[in-house]
Amino acid sequence: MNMVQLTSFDGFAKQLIENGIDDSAIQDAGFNNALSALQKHGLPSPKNEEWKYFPLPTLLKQSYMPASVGKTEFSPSSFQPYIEQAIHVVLVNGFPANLDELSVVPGLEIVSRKKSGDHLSDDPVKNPFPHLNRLLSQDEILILFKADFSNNRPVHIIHVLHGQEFNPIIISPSITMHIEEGIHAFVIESFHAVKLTDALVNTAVSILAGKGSEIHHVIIEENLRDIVQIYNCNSIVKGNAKVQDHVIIHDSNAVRNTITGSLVDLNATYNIFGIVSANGKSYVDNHTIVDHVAPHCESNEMYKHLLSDSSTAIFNGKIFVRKDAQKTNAYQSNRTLLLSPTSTINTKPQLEIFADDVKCSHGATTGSVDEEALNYLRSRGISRDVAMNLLTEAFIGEVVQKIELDSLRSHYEGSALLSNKA
Amino acid sequence: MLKITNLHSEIDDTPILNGINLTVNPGEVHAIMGPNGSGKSTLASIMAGREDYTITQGSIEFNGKDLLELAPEERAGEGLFLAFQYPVEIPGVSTANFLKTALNEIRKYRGQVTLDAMDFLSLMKEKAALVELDSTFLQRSLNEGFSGGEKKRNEIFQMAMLEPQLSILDETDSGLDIDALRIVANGVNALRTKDNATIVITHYQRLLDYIIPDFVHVLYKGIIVKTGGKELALELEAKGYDWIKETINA
Repeated sequence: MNMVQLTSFDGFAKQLIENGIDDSAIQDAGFNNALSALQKHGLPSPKNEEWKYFPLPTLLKQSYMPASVGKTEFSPSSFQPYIEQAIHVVLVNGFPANLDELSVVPGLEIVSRKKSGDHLSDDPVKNPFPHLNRLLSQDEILILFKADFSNNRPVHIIHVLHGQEFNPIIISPSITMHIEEGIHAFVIESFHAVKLTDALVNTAVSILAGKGSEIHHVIIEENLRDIVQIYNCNSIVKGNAKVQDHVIIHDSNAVRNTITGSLVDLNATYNIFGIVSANGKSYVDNHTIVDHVAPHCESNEMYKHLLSDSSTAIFNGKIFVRKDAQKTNAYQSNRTLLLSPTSTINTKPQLEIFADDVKCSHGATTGSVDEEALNYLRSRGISRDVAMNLLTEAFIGEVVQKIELDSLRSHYEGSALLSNKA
Repeated sequence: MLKITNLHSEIDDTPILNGINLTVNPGEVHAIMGPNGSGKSTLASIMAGREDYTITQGSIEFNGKDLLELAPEERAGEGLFLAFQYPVEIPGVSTANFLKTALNEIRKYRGQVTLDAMDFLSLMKEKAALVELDSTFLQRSLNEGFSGGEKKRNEIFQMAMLEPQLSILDETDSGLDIDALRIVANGVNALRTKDNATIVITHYQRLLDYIIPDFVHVLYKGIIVKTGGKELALELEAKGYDWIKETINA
């Protein structure tokens, strides 16, 4: 096995061949389009507006060893046991580990298949990472919620990030989910580093929500201290369908999410919620794109940040309302509580509206804890620390309440996210 | 119980209190009256532990402890309670959750066992009835969207829950209509025992028709210039604060 260079993509195919990649993969149009995009543009420089505040050059290594099929001796239920009744899909370094156990759930098909499609929807200048993922994983996990799926158990995708003999490694999970007409699904993705000391995790997920379907998709990025976590998700929401993405980031070192929802047919709903709790010297970057293509659609977005120590958070919320997307309702809010004088938020709502009969709103607030409220609580016998917890819990509570899976929501009610004070 | 001796304080180099002396014993009700800017609310804030004021001289002793050395939450633990003139709205924290936390923190401070959910609930129902506070209020965010009267009733409700030894009511009557005033006063009176004491800070004599004080003190320019019985409040109401000002300035 050989390292692959991320500084230049000119010899990339050759490096992959030396790593034993299948010949047919190199012949594939999708592969070659992704490769030429990367050869042309490379990874983002600090001058790239979309990556301005996320310090890629200092976080990334020059070369990585592509992760290979790993094994794990861990039982799925030991990861987040508080998520009740889950159907576990275990991926070790992006490779499926328990597909054969999953064939028994009626209406749910989970398979590993060759990637298809000639072009990725992502602009390679703004976000080349899905293209990099395309090069490094020729297969994807397809999760198909079929018309006869009537199970109310959540599907829990457990990404086990397992250290290997060589460092640093690059892990490239790739998942596609299809929810057929009228079906309801709940999917949780969580990432767990095991014996891992240095890695770049670059995940690409796509969701296609069929007519009248509904999917809740929770992404948990917790305790990822020694890795650079880059997560990309694109959802396409068909007529009368609803997709709700919910990101929970806590105690992680370097996280960049690029999450897109496209409303492509009448009466579709796309919601995206985020809870960010950051400490130490971490960087947490959330770029979201809500694309109103069709009329009569609705989107709701709410991100809350709790920032302590010298952490830095970045929020960029784009909302596009295309010319034909009349009667759009689009709401965005981003609120930040700075818990220390050295924490930073860079926030940028970005609305581009080309239709003239729409309701759109956005708001960004940044502040520190209300001293008057703190005094009031203390005067009733509540210590400063407990009072701080009450106030910060209340602050993020609004977003926690949006989690519609009871066992998961209960876990985050209370101070689970606030125990990271350094 | 409480002994304030020669208390001087200032804020941003402006003197506010210029030598307060006050002793409060168990079972007593003291009223502190005075014109605007005389230092009434400053005195209340200093006792509750606000950090904006500098104490330049003097001491406050509470049950033998140096009150000024204690953090606000420790003062509450020791049995001091301030009913705020302007209760703070705290979105996202329910009144019930807030009070459960407060009561159990105080109980921990006092070395008592904490209350479980059932015991807390029944205590809360009992005390809410005292100030005619509807139980739906308890699930709402603390003071958020409450009317002026509801906020003040909520203060007395908290006082009932926390059972302080010394309660300071800072202009609790301001912004109250007659009915709310009666409810608040009834609550305060119902909580009176021979072991606890109350300091009522007010502009007007009106509240003192309902909460009968044992002593009335007149505060002016940061010093207690006159002390008397409940009839002093009536005299002030009749003659106005100018009477005091003329007496002092003469």
